[in-house]
Amino acid sequence: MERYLRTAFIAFILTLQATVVFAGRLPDSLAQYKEKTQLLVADERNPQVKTYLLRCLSGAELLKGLEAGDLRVPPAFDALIKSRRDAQGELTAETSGVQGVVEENDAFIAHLQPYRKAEYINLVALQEELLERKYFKSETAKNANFLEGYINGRWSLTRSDYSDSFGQEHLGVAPWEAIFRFEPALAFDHGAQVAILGTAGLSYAFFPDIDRSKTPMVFREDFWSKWVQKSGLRLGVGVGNLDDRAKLLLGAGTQLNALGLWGLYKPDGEAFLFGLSASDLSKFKKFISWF
Amino acid sequence: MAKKKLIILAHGIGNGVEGFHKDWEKVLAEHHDLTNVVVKGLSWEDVLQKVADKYPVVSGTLAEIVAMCGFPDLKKWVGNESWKEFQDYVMDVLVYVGLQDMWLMIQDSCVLKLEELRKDQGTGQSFPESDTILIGHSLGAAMLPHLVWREYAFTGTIPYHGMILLASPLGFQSPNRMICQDFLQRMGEIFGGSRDNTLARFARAWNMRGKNKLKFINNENDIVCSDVKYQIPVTGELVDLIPLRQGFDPAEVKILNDEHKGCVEYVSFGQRDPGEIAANHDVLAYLKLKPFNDALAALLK
Repeated sequence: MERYLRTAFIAFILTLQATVVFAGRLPDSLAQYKEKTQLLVADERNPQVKTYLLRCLSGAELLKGLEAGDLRVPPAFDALIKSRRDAQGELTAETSGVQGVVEENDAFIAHLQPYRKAEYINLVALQEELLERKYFKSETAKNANFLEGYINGRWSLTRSDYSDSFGQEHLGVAPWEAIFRFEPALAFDHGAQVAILGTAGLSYAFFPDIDRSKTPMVFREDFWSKWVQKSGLRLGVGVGNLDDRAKLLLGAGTQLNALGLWGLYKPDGEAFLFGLSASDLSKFKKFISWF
Repeated sequence: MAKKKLIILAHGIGNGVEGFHKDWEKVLAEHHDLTNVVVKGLSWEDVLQKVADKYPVVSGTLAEIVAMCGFPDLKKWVGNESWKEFQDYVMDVLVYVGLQDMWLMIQDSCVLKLEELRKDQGTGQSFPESDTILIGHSLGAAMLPHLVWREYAFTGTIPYHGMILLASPLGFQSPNRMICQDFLQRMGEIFGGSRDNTLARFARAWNMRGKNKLKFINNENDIVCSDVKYQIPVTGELVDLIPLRQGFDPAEVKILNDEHKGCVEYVSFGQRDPGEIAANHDVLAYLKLKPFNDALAALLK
């Protein structure tokens, strides 16, 4: 944990430093990039490469008149990068390595890429923090199982979107998490009776919004993200040793830290019961790691 | 005075302890003048372990998974040590590539670690990416291309000076891409689409940094990056112990080599003996190879 915080902190500081250094310099950087690229255009004889360089220049025009820290810079860069990648898609194995293209790329790295890189590191640090909150910052976070990990990474409701994710809400990290576990439980029916519940549930992580108006971007915490953090419902099917006989139990519940609170229904006898289950399965994992 | 260059080394499975890069650096120093070079290790085993702790697959379950993947011959013919090493490898691969959200978190963490490593302790300044050379081995040689490709997709350029990938499992092809994505599929979803197009765009993007900036070096006797057939004692039968495709196929090698000239090179060291699996994958052996040292010398010029 300490390591992550340290890394995130350093990334944050780096971004801050970079942003301070860059402030007010974007127009100068843009001018230097354009000047170099215009020279390359003038010298270029290959029509395909010339077209590429002109497209790069045209993309750079999207930054015209903008200062670092302006809210319009990230979307302008989004459009610039898309246009740049599209233009690169037209290059071939031969033309992508010619002097004009290499020198334009060097100019882009020297003058414009640092602004975008600072934004990138900022977003990556925030995204990592969201994933940390979702998967590692709760009482039972370490009691997951491989099946859960697999499903959370595959189901569209729960998995993160990593393709072009930084423009999305919560940077593409889905707040929903699926839970599939077997949990030892106590069903209270004339005293505590032992039961085992197979549970399936969904929990929702209350993520903070990203304040994109700040440079660097920061989280904007609210009551839910700061104090509630995570909540969810579960459904369970299990077996309880009730009246010295194995009885089917159905239930709905919620999780409170390492404890599951259940409202259970016993179809045989049509009785309602209260139940408690242990979500901390660390002692049993060795034997039931799939769950 | 010549500008200093920074070499970042990314480990693979089983050799990711803090300070792992010291042994690597010693071998590099035998072949190169490192006076103006700073060598640092990107240790990411802690993140892999953190995820493995959350989603444990203990030996019994792992054996089930491995059996499901169809490796009965491997277990039968390799020694216990090699089998254990292979199990560790499968575990790290499962953690890295099998769990999508964890992959993203590992990637994010490695991006931030790399950013931290670029900072010069002495001056407090960051080494420019254009003076930074990335070298990865094994799983580290799949993590680095992912890292670079994510950055390319967002920033529109690869800023690093060069990248050398040793024993990279990047060509590994999932037997069922719906159930478990493979490394290239993941890159294609970031940007590029199909395997072939992703490889072509990836190699071409390096052209824009110049010649000889990207290099894959694979031992054809190394089961992590090559489809090795072993001769079984007694019967003499040739058996592929892992009935999956680990390496790039010839068409993919051609794409890479056509796009970034000579960027894939196969070498041969070690014996095709199931007991030599670990030795044939050994990073220090890779670092002593002439093709590797030629590639690094070109980047250090």
